[in-house]
Formats: sequence, structure tokens, C-alpha cells
Amino acid sequence: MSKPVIEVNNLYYRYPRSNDYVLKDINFSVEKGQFLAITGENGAGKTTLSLILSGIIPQAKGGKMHGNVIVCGLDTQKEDLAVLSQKIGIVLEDPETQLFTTKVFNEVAFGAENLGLPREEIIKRAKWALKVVRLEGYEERHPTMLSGGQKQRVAIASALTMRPDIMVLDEPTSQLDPIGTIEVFEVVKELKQKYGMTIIMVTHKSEEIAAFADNVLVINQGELLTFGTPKEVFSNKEVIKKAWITIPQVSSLYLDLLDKGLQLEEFPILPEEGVRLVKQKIS
Amino acid sequence: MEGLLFGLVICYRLLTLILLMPLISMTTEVNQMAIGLVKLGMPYKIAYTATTALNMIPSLEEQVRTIMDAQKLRAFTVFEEGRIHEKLFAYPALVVPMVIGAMKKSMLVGVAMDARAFGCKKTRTYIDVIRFTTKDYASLVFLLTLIGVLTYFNLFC
Amino acid sequence: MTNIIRIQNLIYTYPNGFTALKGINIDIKKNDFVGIIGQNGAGKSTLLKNITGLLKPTSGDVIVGGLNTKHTSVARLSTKLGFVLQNPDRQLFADTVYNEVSFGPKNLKLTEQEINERVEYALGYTGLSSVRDKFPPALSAGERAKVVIASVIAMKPEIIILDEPTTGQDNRGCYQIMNIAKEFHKAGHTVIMVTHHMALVAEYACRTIVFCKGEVLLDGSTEEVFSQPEILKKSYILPPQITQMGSELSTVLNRKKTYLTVSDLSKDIFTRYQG
Repeated sequence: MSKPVIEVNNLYYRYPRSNDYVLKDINFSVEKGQFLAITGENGAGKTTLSLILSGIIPQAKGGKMHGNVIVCGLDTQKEDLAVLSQKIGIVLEDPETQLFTTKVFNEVAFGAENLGLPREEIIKRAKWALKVVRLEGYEERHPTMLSGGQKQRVAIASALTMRPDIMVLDEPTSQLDPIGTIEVFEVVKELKQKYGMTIIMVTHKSEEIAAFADNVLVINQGELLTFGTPKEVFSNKEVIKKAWITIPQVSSLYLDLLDKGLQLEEFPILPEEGVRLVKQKIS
Repeated sequence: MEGLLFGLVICYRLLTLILLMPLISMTTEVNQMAIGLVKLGMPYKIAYTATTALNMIPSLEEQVRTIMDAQKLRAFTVFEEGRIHEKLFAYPALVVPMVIGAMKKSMLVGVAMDARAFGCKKTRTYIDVIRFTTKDYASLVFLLTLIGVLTYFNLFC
Repeated sequence: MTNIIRIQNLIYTYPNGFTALKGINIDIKKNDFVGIIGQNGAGKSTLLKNITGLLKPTSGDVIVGGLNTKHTSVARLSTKLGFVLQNPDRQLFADTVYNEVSFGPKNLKLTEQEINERVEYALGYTGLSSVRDKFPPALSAGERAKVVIASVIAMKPEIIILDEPTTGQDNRGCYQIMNIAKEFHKAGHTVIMVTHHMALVAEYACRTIVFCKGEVLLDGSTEEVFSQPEILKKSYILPPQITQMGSELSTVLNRKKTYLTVSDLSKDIFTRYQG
């Protein structure tokens, strides 16, 4: 086992002017090259957690934080945000609000400009990032004129120019149509496989968690409810009920058959598994 | 009477300013404007904050239109058929969600900028290079003359 | 059955010259539950705005409950059909939930007692009675969406039109919103829903219309539509997971059927297992 790239120890956090902790006693770690999905109800603290991982909370937003979060060996509470942003990039939920310049190329270059890198280096990086997200040829376009999936890919490219090792994506596909969702997932898959990046994704979509994630972390009312593989989490009835998780349809099929008195050999989370297990029983 | 007129003049001056804002963002690329301001010596944090705010105007307009649609869909006809005093009371209802929307949006834009290390270094690089060209000098001379003439008329006529 | 909505040769061109709808013909029966799917920019929202009268056809006609939208005000139409716009956060404007929901009935110039009754009815319908005095933006995302639906229910429409009602919702919110739509349909009313969520269409919609580039690509019972994955692929739509599994199991099940829900498929597997 390699050394974790993210370590979260006894994390507690409350926002400024608030007495309630929105995150309580969170502990977990993520290894390099892993895909971790974070799920749970709206308001459970998922977005707050992703902002803490990237150091924006508490550094830019204030509030009270206990415990520590170590990303690539750096303490997110103390390390300079300029340094942190080159280790961990973040893509937010709403594709509209995170794009604020008037040209795709400027948008993508913005972060590297802030780092004060040489101009040629920035241009090289921005071109590379647009290639990775498959948006070459869109350099001069206005970000607001793109489709939802394209906007989210511009946002991913904007984080990529900082050359981070870890990418945090906060519900990147919740507002996208099916094609936009597929576009984003294909890019994310490539970041993991081709570039060995660690991926943290906040999402409600269990069928995608089953297909892509190595581990799932479930947050419920600010507390860590469970951490495990998608199979472990989706087969845990108590967790599913408490956190209102909709399991993949293939898993529901397993439970439905079980109720009727037919038990498949194992608990499936992928459709191909389900098809194979059903065929085993009836042919 | 004079006071009322003076008040009206001030109101219309403000209104002119507000109505001209979209003209700026439509004719000048906001990013270039920010760089221009920085070149003139403004700290880049302030320059970017100001120009990013300009960039948000179109989305605020759209927000107002959405609320007006939502109201129409619930049989609200004041904006089309109402009397002036009814309209006067209807407008404030549009302001509240607009302000909340703008606040939420600016907070999110702030987070998006923080995430990309905005403001972390004293100086930043600009990939866009802007230079003063003959056209710029010409328009500068034109504008200065215009201001001069207007001031002259204001003071002496 | 009567057609409560008739759309004939509807063409809509935006002022900038973009033609979003290129000759649409759709009749919708009373008490139908229609799902409308297709990628962003396919013309779905433009269609909804034409049905509700917010936009008037460039050519062709839209007739709602016998009224041609060309000659009818949005206000008049609002008692026939309720339109729940996308994204609740962009449209809530009142200071309390009660005032938000009573806004429509007040515009209808009803008596105070009637207004009160309608608001109570709508709040009860959506399960919001306990938050009636709260400031809408301070509520949870699920509650905010329900406030918007309640405001439309209070108009007592015969048709309800939902534009991506579950976007940005978690599973609980999604479930609650769909339950409200289901109740409304059960009471004999008509529901039209635009969504990207295929499992919801499969589970709730009786009829499904697929839009692609301003035209109707497919229109039929939800089963018929989801039985044509090759055509759906053209507009980048994938049928729900359970439908795809059903078609892969069709040979061992010895049935050529389009499965829309988990219980449909599980029933047939179990019967085959026993027999």
C-alpha cells in the first residue's frame, strides 16, 4: 500500500457566525490514483468537505476548524493557497458561476496567471489542458455560449492548468443532460487512467459510483456514516435507508428477487454482473 | 420646485450611468479592461473585482426576466396592464431575489477565483498584451477635447 | 377522450433568427402523464413556453383547453395550466412561504377566505404546512422546489407542467417531488414533465416524446420509445439500466418485452425461475 495523498483526521468545522458544526469527527484517507465518491443528502456537508480539502475553507472563508487535513504532505490550514492549488484542483457544481472571463482561453489560463508563471509556460499549459478535455478549437469562444457539458470541461481544464495531482469535482454532472454527463465522465476517467490523478467526486448518481469509484464515503448530517467499496456501501441496508441513497437498479433487482425467494449468488452493482448472475439461475 | 427639478436631474444622471453600463461590457472585453486598469496603476485585485462585477450584469437581467415570467404565470398582470402606482409597488418585489441571487453568485465566483489561486501572489502574469495604438491616442484626444468643451459650456454659458 | 392540448404545425423562431421549433404536431389527452426528453437545446423549454403562452408561436397554433394561446393572456391560461419553471432559486420572490403561495390566488381576485383555503390546500398537498412563515431562500433545496410547486397548485390548474423538477435535488427531494406529480395525475389531471432522468420517465410517464434539434424524433407509449435504443442513441439518450438488462436477458426469459421498472423484470425472472 502506498502512502495516502489525502489524510483527514478528527475534522470538525463550523462556519463563521454559526454555533453548529456542519462536519463532525470526520476521518478518512485516500491513496494516490484512487477514485473516491462522496455521497449523502443535500446539506449533509459534502460541498463544505470538498472546499476544506482544497484549503479554501478555512483559509478564504474563515470559520472554526479542528483536527487536520493533510494533502500531499501539506497542511491545508497553513499552506499557501497558491501552493495548495497546484496539488489539488476543484470544479464546482454550477457551470455558470465558476466561469467569469469572456474567452475560453483566458478562463483556462486564469489560474496559471495568478501563479505568476512565465507567459510561454501558461500558454503551453492552457493548450495542453484544452486538449485533455477535448476542447481544442474553442479557445476564442465566449464561455457562456457553450453547452453545459462543455462549460464543465472548461472548468476542469481551468483547474488542470495548475497541474494538480488531485481533482475534486463537486456534483459536476447534476445539471447536465445525458450527453454532457457522458462527456464529463469520459474526461474524468482519462485523468485517472492516463494521468494517474486522484479523483474525489461528490455525486448522488449511484450507477455512476458503481461504474467508476473505488471507494464511497457517505456523509449524514455532518458525520461520516460509512466508508467502503461501492459494493459494501450499496449492500448495507441500514446506511442506504438512513442516507436516502438510491442504489443502482441492478442492486434493487437483487433485493426484489430476494424478497420473492430467489437469491442470486452475490450482490451485483453493475448491470453486466446482474445479467450474468440471473443467467446462472435460469438457464 | 427647484429642489424637485434638481432631484430629477440627479435621478436621470444616475439612470444614464446605469443604463450605459451594459454598453461598456458589450464594447470592451472585460478582461482587457482589467488589464488596462492594472496598467494605469490600479491594484489587480480591485481591477478584477470591478470588472467581474460588470460581467454579472447580463445574468442579473435574465434573473429579473425569470421572476417576471414566474409572476405572469400566476396571473400577475400589473407590468402589462397596471397603473403607475401599482407598478411602483411591484418593482421592489423584483429587487429582493435579484440581490440574493447576486450575493450568492458573487460568493460562488469568489470561491471559483480562490480555487485558482487568485490574489496569492503580489504580481501576476497576463497572457494578453495590450498596447496603446494610434487609435487609442486619437480617441483619447477626442474625449479630452469633448470633456473640455462640455466643461467650458457648463461653466461659462 | 378529449385533447386538452393541441399543438398544430408549431414553428418558433427567436428574435435572433434561431428556429428552435421546426413544425411540431402534438395532441395531449386529458389525464395523460407525458415525459419529454432530449438533449439541451433540443427545443424542450421553448415548447413549454409556447404551451404556457410566455412565447407566442411564429406560425401554427397552440390550443389549451379550447383557448388559442395567440389570443389568450398568460394570466387567463394560468388557471388552466400551471408551469413550474426550472431552478426554484431564480423565481422565489416573497418574504414568506405563505405569501409566495398566496400570490397567485390573490391575483385571481378571490375572497380572503378562498385565498386562505387554497393556500392551506396547496401547503398540505406539498407537505409544507410547518414552514409557512419561513423565508423561502432559507429553506432546503427540496423545500424550495416544493414551494414553487405549491404556488402553482394553489392556482388549481388542470394541467401541470414541470421543467426539470429534480435537477439539483437529492434522492429524498426527487422522491417527494415525483410523489406530488403522481398524486396530481391520480386525481385525474394532466402532467407534462421535461427531464434528463430516464429512470423517472420510465417509472412515471405513460407517454414519452423525444426531441432532437427542434423536431419530434419519437412519440409513443414509454415502452415503445424505450424499445428503440438505436434511435435514442442519436439524441444521446440511454434507456434506464433495468431496460438495458431486460433486453440482454430477453433470450433466456423467452420474452421480447421492454421492461421499465425493476419490479416488472423481477416478476418475469421469478416466473421463469419457477417454471
